[in-house]
Amino acid sequence: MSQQEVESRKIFITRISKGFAGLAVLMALPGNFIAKTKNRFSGIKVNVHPNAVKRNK
Amino acid sequence: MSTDKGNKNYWKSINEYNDDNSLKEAKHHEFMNGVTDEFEPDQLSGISRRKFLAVLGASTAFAATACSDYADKGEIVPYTKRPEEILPGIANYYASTCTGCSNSCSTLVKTREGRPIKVDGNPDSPINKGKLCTKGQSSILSLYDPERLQEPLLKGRKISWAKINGEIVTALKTASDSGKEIAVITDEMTSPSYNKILNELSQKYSTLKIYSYKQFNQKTRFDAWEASFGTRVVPSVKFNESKIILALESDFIGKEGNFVENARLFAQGKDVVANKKMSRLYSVEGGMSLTGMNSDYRLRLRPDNQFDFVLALIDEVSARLNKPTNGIPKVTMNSFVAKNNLNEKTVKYLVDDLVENIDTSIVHAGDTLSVELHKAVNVLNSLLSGNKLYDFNNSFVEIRKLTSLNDLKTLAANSELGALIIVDSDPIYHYPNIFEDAFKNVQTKIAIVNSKNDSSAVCDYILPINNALESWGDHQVRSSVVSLQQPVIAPIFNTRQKEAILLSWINDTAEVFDSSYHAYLQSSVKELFYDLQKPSADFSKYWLSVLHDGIIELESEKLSGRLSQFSLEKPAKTTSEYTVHIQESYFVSDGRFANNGWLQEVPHPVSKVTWDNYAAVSPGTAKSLEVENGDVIKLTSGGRVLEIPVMLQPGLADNHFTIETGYGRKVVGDVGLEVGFNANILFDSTFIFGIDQVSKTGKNYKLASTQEHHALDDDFVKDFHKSRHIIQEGTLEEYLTNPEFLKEHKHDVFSITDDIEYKGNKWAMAIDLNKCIGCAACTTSCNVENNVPVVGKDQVENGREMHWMRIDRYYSGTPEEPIPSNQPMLCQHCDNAPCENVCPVNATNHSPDGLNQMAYNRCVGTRYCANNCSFKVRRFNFFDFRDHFENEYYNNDLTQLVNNPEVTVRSRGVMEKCTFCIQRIMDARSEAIKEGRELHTDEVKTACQVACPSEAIVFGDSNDPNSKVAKMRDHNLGYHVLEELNVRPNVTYIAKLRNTHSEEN
Repeated sequence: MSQQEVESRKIFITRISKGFAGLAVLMALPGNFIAKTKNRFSGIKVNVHPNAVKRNK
Repeated sequence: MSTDKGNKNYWKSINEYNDDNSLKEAKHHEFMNGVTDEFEPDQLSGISRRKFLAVLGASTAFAATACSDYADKGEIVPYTKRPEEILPGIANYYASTCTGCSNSCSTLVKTREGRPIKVDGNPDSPINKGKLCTKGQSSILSLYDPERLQEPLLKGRKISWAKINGEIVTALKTASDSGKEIAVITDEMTSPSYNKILNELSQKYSTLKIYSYKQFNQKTRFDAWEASFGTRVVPSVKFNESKIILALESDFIGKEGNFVENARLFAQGKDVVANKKMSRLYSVEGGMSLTGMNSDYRLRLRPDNQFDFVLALIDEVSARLNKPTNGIPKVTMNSFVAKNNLNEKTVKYLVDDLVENIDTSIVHAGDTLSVELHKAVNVLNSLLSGNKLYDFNNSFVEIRKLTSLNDLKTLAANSELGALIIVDSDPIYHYPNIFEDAFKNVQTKIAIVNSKNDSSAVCDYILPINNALESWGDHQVRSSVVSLQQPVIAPIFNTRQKEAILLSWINDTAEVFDSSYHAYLQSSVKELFYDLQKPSADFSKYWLSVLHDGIIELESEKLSGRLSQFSLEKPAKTTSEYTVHIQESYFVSDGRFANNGWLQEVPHPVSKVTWDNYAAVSPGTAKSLEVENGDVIKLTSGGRVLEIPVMLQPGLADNHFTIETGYGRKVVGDVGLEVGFNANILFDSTFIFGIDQVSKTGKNYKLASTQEHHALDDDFVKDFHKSRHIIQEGTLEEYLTNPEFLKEHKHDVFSITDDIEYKGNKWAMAIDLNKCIGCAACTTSCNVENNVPVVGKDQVENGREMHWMRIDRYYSGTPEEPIPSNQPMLCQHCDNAPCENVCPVNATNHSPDGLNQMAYNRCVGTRYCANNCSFKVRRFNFFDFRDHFENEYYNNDLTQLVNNPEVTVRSRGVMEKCTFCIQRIMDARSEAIKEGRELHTDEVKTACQVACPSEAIVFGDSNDPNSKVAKMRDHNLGYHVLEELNVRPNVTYIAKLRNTHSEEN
């Protein structure tokens, strides 16, 4: 392998590694953070009325 | 236009009738204008390949991270302490009452995990018999409206109940002690217990006066009945036993009286499958109503001429029967017919039919007509059937007489009002000309309402009340039935029952407890009904029993009507060239449902317009005014001005406008805001009045109508017959002479593939077009059951409304005298479905029990199936409509509670369509397996079938020879739409028969 080919292979591997490292950093972020900021538990409580009388269909 | 046998041309709109070029052009394109995007490769910006790949890689990395938990909907957490009544996955049912209008239909509410998800009619009710109208079905969305009032407010700031109550009681005492009037404006009274509370309140505060009103009511009918018969107990009409029905400006199956009951009774008279007899309906009206659309004969007559028409009928009928009438002004029929350009033959048929069927003829006048006209109709009916067609055991009762408009005007003029209390009503919106600025100087203004409205906007004290599904109540609108209301869910917010609020003022208690009204209601029911009926069980058992059933049946007084002598006065007639008729909206009612997306989006049953109102005008008048659809006109009457777009409506009387109210509200949630035009501005004292001036404004307004989407009946595809036989009709006489007349044009259709044998259940549906009135209760019930999203006006304009069930409306005849035909259209679940073969991912397939199935998570959204569907019933989610509609208005934790957990909520990019309520089929099947039996005949009922008030829809197993659907499938009048395509639809339509005279046939 010539010196030029070795150099270009080194650059190629360096760039790919940097890309994967960046991906790993991003994926390490709390994955649910973006989705969950939108949906928050609002605390709507649903209760049956105690004096209501149910029936058959 | 398509042609049918007998040279009958079918058309769906004025544009189509006139062979409008733009419509012809539109029919050749699959998509509406502006929907497809133009792609210009030359206009792409320059970017190198390297940069493109780098950006692509980075964005993929971001997307992968962000999508790691896409659309997190929270967690499903099991109960640690399960409420006794709730079994997860099993529905509970409660009987209650709908308060959407003053019919107070008894309901059966389905709840899941403690929250209501579906409201249907109570099958035990003798009045509505398990049926509920469109408004009742959709009312459940109001419970989950995110803009409901949640806390008491004082000048816009939150305040506790105890504090606000304390201030109000002090203010009321001050007003009463100083002798100033305390005005209570409330909705029409249907509850005896609520009425009792108001009476007690007026005893507590001596200057308190109660004004009970409803914009559209039956007051003129009651007043006329009292003048004619001396009582205000008005019997209902036995439409099922009537052979000849004459409807004068009466929409008795659309929106007047108890139209759910009327539709059922009317449909019984049109049940040609069960018995080969039919009633005959004549409709005489200025506008085109639902009743007019279902009539056998129709006469166009402006409503200001109706009184003379009734006098002419009395003159003619009394002469023929030799029963002279005194004190009735004389109008001769011949002169009337000539003057008003009526069809002589139709009028002759009408008079002949009334006279020849004297015991089974009934004349029914509309609620918006005058008292004098109703009195004249009472005279006419006494000449005909007398009391025979009145059901006195099932009379309408008035809990409290409605306040007259004059009294409301007196109230508005009272500048010395001490306090104003508005309870569950909106007088400022309904009568802006009376109440605008009327209450500026009133010191204490209190609004007790469910959500903000024009009237609450002027009030300082706003007390939020429970939704109907969170409330107790009793409702008596008929002499023999009381409907009870119970809360199917505990109040979600810090709201109270309106009766409990008033009770706290009577009892001087600072805090408001709903339980106080619960106790009061029990004692009231005991006093009014239990002590009267004297049953053997003690009251606690009786109470549980009536709450369970939802109704109390009473023995009503045996009344009958005997016409007393009176005279008639001709009401003053307008001299204006144009008249207008202000009417109630079919779905939005008087505006109370303006914030309900489902009701705004259901197409108008006649015009198929959504999200707006308009001034309907005849094509002839539109031509003379030089206006077209959408042109905005200015109507002026008595100094009142309204600008509103025009809609060309075939069949309207000339020089006449009909406008529905309920739109144009200024103080309402985001859904109803800036929707439509407030026609109440034009209203003065009567619903029918003259217009001084009509002028064009030069503006145009787009009306979103569904009637020109989904054009099926075009002859663009040359390989098929020109006439598609989508609507097949005949006359009763034709059917009686030759029961197989429908089969004459049929030909054998063969398949090149082997037929698949369906063993076991094979689900099918049959729709009787004689009974279908086009009310769209089926559409709404389907929307609620199947979580169909609201898309908004802009998407409806693009043809993207998501209704699984639609009512197609065709016209034949001419624009002046159209003959409408309705046809509910839904997925036909074809055995040779054209949609199934073309799906590239096999997302749609056929089940062993005959259903065309849809796997949402397989669908990739090529839309090839919708392209291939011959019936255009497949709906595509172009957006996630929960996010897309009104800036995510319905995408909140509260509104999501309305979703039926048994049905998938579809997201963007997925095709959906009618599933024949597969969740109900599976539910019934699992119950049958649990009990170790087969499914009973007709056990499974789809949502549309349950809702249909006229029982036009039948669903069941076509392999079961005892099932109704199997019998209708084999009926002589049964046909399939586009049968010649050999797609083998599983929906059978029973051809409509018109009961016309033999000379016409």
